[in-house]
Amino acid sequence: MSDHAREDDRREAALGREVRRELSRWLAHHASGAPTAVDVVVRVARSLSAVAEDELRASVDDQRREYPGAIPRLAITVDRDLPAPGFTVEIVPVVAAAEEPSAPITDEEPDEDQDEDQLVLTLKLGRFRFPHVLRPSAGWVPVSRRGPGGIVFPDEAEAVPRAALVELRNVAGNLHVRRTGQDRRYIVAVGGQRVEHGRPTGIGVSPRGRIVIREATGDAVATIDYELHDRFTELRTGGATDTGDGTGIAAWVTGGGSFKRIHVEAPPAGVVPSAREFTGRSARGEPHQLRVRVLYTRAEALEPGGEEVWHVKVYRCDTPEDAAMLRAFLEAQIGNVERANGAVGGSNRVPPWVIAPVHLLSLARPAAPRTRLADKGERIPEGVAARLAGWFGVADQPDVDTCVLVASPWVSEVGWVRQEMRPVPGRGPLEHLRRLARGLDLMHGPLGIAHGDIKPANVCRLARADGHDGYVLIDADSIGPVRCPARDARPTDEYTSADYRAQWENGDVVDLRALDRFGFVLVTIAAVASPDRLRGLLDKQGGRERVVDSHPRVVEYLTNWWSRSPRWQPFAEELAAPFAKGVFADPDFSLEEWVDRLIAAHDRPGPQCGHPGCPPAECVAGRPRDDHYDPPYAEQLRRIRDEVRSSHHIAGGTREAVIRELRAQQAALALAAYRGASRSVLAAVTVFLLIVVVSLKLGGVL
Amino acid sequence: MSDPEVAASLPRSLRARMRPVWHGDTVVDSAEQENLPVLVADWGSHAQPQSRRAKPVAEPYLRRHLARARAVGREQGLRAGLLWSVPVAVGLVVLALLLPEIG
Repeated sequence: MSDHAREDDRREAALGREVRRELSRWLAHHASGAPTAVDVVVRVARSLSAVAEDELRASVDDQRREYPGAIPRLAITVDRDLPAPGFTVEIVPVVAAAEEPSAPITDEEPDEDQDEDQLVLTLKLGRFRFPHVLRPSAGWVPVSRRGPGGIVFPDEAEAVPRAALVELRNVAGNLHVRRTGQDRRYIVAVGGQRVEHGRPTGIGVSPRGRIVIREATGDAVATIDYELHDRFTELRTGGATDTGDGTGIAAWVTGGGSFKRIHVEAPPAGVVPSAREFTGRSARGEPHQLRVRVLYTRAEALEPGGEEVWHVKVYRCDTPEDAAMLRAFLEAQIGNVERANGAVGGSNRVPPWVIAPVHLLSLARPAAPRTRLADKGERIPEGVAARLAGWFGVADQPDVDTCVLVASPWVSEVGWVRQEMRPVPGRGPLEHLRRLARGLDLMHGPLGIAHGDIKPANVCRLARADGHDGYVLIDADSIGPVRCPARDARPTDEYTSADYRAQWENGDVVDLRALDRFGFVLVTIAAVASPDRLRGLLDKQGGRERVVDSHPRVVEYLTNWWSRSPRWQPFAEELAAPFAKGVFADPDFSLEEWVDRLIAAHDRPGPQCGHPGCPPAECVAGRPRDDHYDPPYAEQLRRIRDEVRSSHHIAGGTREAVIRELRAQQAALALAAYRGASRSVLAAVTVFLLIVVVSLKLGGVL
Repeated sequence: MSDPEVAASLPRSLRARMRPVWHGDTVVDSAEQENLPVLVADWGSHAQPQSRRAKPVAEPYLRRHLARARAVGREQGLRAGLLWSVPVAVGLVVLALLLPEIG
């Protein structure tokens, strides 16, 4: 410690003694038990340290115990011209009765429905910052480090004692505090007032100040700045992702009575987390808008069995209280996904799936399910909080409780076929879409839930080693009841119908089932015709309404795609049929039956020669075929074509025919080339050697 | 020899190398896989517009795989021929040396 610091300590200690002596002397003469306000005016030559100032306030407050009715108030001013010893203390009685600054609150219950008074309490400890929601409540919220509930500091705030020394509550927008009976060796001062044990109603404190925790011996162990402020000022965007050394984190996939350890990789550096909104519900069921930021990354299993690779979504909320609400929301969504998958015979672990299952991740090893009483699980490893905070660009808020991680089994993008590859409608995707349609019909009917955001980007391909192959919906965040409050629906605007937008603008409830059907039909169009053509349906051209909002225009548009071919006219009309008025909202409409009709229209034989791509107006059956093939491979190409054409009447058989015949032709070509090349080399070598030998013989060398 | 017999008579490594990739990871491959049957069936059919559209897509695709199979077969054949040429050469030299001794 430097000489200056020692001198400051001595000066501050002397000031404290002087304040206690002067104030107690004044109160001894003037206090009578009636409320008596008195100002303790302290002038100092140099600013006091934060700890000294808090101790001074606590010291002044201590006098209230000896002199009931006394209301001392401390005022500190700096006057750099003061002579030695560098401070003065003056006691000034207040003539008018002062209002009790720390008046105990009454026992009346605060209004439980004052959600607009929901405030955020930001606690700052050193370079760290921990915001918490403090709702109006009659209940007290304990403040501790890694305690079981309330406002909990993470281990990064190691200066804060573990025990809950104080409890807080929000009374009509005012902050109240009381001392618990725990760890009495610590003395706590809040906002300059010492908080004593034994006052169950607590005291009111200023909305901004400092919590000083010191030991009875006088050493301050923690100084926490606090500020109670309006909710909206807390929303922070954070910065770009800082992955540090790129280390990931370990997590456990929970649910279903078991858990599995995975390694979550760090997201790409420099990414700005995307923003999303959810409608969470408080414990009383009231809706709250949750604004969260989301990062996407992947994870790999660290233990054998089950999924090997996972998609991981990392959500971050402003406060742990918001994160708890988001977790409850996601748990409800996970339950909905499990119900939907159960309807088609799957579960959250085993396909078939309508929606890719979602699992909440735990950042610490959970308690073993069979020995839960004996096994409390483990604590979150050190460094995880700082790593997660870095990922969201908020290094000053290392609080794992603000983050929620979920994982889904790995699925891949479908890779919708481009327009130039769709001279005729695609047939392959219809089988996959049929299974998806069946699942959606079950969700909309018996289960009464809807996905809420069906679009091509939310349909992925599931291809597993166990043979499960098909389309699956992703992004379970938007799942809701088929009749859903408008504020809870989260569709992508571009993929909403005109009817949905009208409902959203005019009423409180929207029909998510009709919206799902609309989205599914758009996905089907992308699958059989291409996303490029779907874009033409959804784009506004020249200020006119979208094509997709007019049934006649959709029919005309779809028919034009396939050259106005009479062969594909019924298929195009069936594809456009759901856009007729009222079909999407019709309770009897079935997506599965609609896909069946599409398949039937696709598979029906052509009207003339039997070939599905042969329009009657152009069929030249009976005339010589235009089947000229240029060499090389003319014979092979003809054989492949003939084989495929002879099998095209079998649904789905052409693909196998192409594969089989192409492989056979490849084998024949390769074998011929193999034999030709090997024999040529052998012959060349033999002839060369014979010439050499004969030459040597003739030359008399041999 | 029938086609399956031909295929079975090929060395395993050769069969593996010339096999077309039917489960490609790229969008292009999946698109080709899905459209190819229709295109091949249309190509050279009575339906002239479809045939004209199908040919430029299906023909290069099939030709590419056929050419690849032939190139692989030739490459393997050259290697096999060179391998066999060593014992053949040794045999010829030995024969040339022994014949005069035998008379």
